[in-house]
Amino acid sequence: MSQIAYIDLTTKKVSTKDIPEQIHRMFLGGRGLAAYLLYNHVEKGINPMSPQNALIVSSGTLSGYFATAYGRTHITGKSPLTGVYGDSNIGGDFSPELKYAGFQHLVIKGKADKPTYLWIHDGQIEIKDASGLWGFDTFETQSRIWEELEDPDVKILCIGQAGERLVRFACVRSWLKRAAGRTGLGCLMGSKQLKAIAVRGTKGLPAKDPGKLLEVSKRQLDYGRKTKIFQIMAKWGLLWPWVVNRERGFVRSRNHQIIGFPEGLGTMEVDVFLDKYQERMFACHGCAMHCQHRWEIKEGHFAGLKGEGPEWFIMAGLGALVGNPYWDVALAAEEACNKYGLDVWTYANNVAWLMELWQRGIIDSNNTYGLNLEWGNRETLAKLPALIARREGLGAIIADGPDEAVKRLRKPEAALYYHRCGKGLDLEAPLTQQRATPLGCLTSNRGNDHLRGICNMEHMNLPPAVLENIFGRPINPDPLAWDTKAWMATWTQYLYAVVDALGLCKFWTKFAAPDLWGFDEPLEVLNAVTGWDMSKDELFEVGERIWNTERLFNAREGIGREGDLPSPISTVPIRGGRLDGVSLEPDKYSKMLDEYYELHGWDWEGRPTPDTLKRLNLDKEPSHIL
Amino acid sequence: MAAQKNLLIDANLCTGCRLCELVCSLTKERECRPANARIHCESYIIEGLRFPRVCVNCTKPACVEVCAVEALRKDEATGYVELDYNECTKCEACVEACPYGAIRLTPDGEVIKCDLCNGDPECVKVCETHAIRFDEHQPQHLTRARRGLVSYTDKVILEA
Amino acid sequence: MAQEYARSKEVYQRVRCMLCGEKLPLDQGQKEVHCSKCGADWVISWINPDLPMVLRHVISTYKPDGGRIF
Repeated sequence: MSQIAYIDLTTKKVSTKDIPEQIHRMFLGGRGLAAYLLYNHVEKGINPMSPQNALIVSSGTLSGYFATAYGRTHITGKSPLTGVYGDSNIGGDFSPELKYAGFQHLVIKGKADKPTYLWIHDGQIEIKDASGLWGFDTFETQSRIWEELEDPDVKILCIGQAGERLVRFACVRSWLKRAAGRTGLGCLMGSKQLKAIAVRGTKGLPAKDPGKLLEVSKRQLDYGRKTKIFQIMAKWGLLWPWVVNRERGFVRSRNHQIIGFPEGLGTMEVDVFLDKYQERMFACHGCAMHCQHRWEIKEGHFAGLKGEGPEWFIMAGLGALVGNPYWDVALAAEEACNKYGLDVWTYANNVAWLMELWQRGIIDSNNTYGLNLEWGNRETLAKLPALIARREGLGAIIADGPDEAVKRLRKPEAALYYHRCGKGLDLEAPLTQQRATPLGCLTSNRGNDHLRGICNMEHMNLPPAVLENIFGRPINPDPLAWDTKAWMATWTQYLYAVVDALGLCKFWTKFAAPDLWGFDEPLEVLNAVTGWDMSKDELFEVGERIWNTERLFNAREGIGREGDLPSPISTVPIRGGRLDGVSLEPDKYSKMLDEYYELHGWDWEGRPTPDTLKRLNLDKEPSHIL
Repeated sequence: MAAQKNLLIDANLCTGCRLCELVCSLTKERECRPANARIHCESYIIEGLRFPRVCVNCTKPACVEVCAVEALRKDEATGYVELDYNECTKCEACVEACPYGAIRLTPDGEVIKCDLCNGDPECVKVCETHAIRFDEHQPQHLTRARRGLVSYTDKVILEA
Repeated sequence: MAQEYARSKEVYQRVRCMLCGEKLPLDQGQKEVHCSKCGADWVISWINPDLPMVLRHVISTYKPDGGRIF
């Protein structure tokens, strides 16, 4: 049975505990139990950079078993960037290996007195000296760990120089581009002087019904491979959302000033990438969809660079948002962010913000230490991650978040152009032309994020009968309608919570297409592995419980309704085109938010009521059982 | 002699999804334990290379020559190399001898080798890119596999 | 039910116009398609012989005065 390991880096003590089955069934692993552990181990109001903050690394309940795409890891902690609940999900192959070594969760507290890394193997956890790794980028760190431990099959999570220097939006990295990007968890790891976590496991994971698991997984794999979305993703990889989302209005260019990405037409296109840059496809653990590209730039200014990618935030951020229409510039900037360990979207947002200030004449080359900040300038885009990681020049100004950057620039009016939402996380897209999607994204507990609440089925023009069959209630198929959308957002958020708790990749769920997994398919695998007879309603309630635990954490920190409100730019109507005049009207959004709170059993501020907590067995939290 | 159907590997097509390891261990050992799978997919992340290693039933098997108790035998009728688990003394000479690293040592000290699942290999069914195929023996496939297989320790020694 | 819908002829052998959502039926191997409802032109890519996907705008369909159609 997989255990929880508690590691105190100050005292260098390690202890372990088994997970009681009752609690496991209430929360499930991954994001679920991590939310519970964070609420119990971190007190109210602590400084996120202090040793009292906890870094929780979790495998999903089903990670490591024979089933497609359950190889994701969840990392949780109080965010140094926003000061509220922070969590992030990373792909690759770390979480199955953690399970094979005998652990499902790692709770890391304290602060090491010198750079360290954890070496976990088959039930043993060693705290090792990382002085030979400190100061190196993420690729070099991983190579050195593989050489030191003499085993290329060790799986690693690490930070780059940005995390070491406590850049607020540094992130945790694996492989060449796998990232636990948002909410600055790399900074949290760096504040503990923890450079990397390396794991290698050779234990086995028994299933309660191995024959059933084999049959269910093979059947699901065969079904999945025949769906339309699988065939498209297997060929186009992560370029598929790029085709679909540009027309949908989910992309804005030049710091959200322009709708869509007109200047990228003809240059930043799927067929251009596949012809000129793509080398081969890689897959995460257990996934037959292999959506990850490996690229090489063969000619031009950046010739000779090789890497992994691109994925959504590179195309929408380092392409559209900064006004750059060329693939090779975006890929070179991505390579720099990967090496130094920076979150690509926050980096792109910062650069786009500075570029808009440059466009409006608010800053000039005196403020930018000589860098040219015209839209899409390739030198700046490729060079700035190194400056941020070293805290030099312009990098020193933006390394600690936007509020500090405004002070350091000494331009108070600059704050008007940095677009953020309620909890402090950067705006992803103004989302003016959907209803359930902005609700789902803005009410997410870490800040506005599409990975916690996007309702992709809102814009697919599905027949109402199909929508009712999926969501269990009638849903209005018009993306601009306000009614029934609170339930659509709720159902979707609970699905993603369960998916993150099991370790599943969202590209195999209804995040991507209506014929992929909902609650039913993971439930079959879960029951075959654990021997439980969980019903679909019970699994739905697990999602609700996870969501409420995260919400409790934020409520304890004092975040209320203001954390769920949209950014002012979302309320600006679109001008021209077929969506002329459409916007996210604040009064109608407020009414939809009230309906959403009522569905959840929360009060007007969005805090869970005592009745709701009692119904979900959360009234005695923090209970300090685990 | 009739051409034997064999496992053919193309390392260039492997994406490293590890579904072959998972289905092999679940089928053979009734638990999910890639350390006990008869197939292993070695990865070099920075270089971007994946090498599936599994028994390809050599025409002149090195493991058969080196086995002192004749636990490894090449069946003349089918052409497959079989390991008799009762005779095996676990001396690990075959693990050293195999040029593909296809005979593996489990963490518990057992020596294991692929037995083609009685003629219907499971790993072939789950491989999406057809990096493993169960087809008739053609010399160029074997050469591609041999060229691709370099062990990590060899690489370090060659470069040192 | 979602599965039957996704396998039906309604979903294969046609694409949706990305601007207005109109269903555009296609012949086998057709490379470009014009939307009669909103006037956009799209380049089609065939993932396999019976699975077409919209790839991108046809660039030459900008208006003669240089203005964009969206």
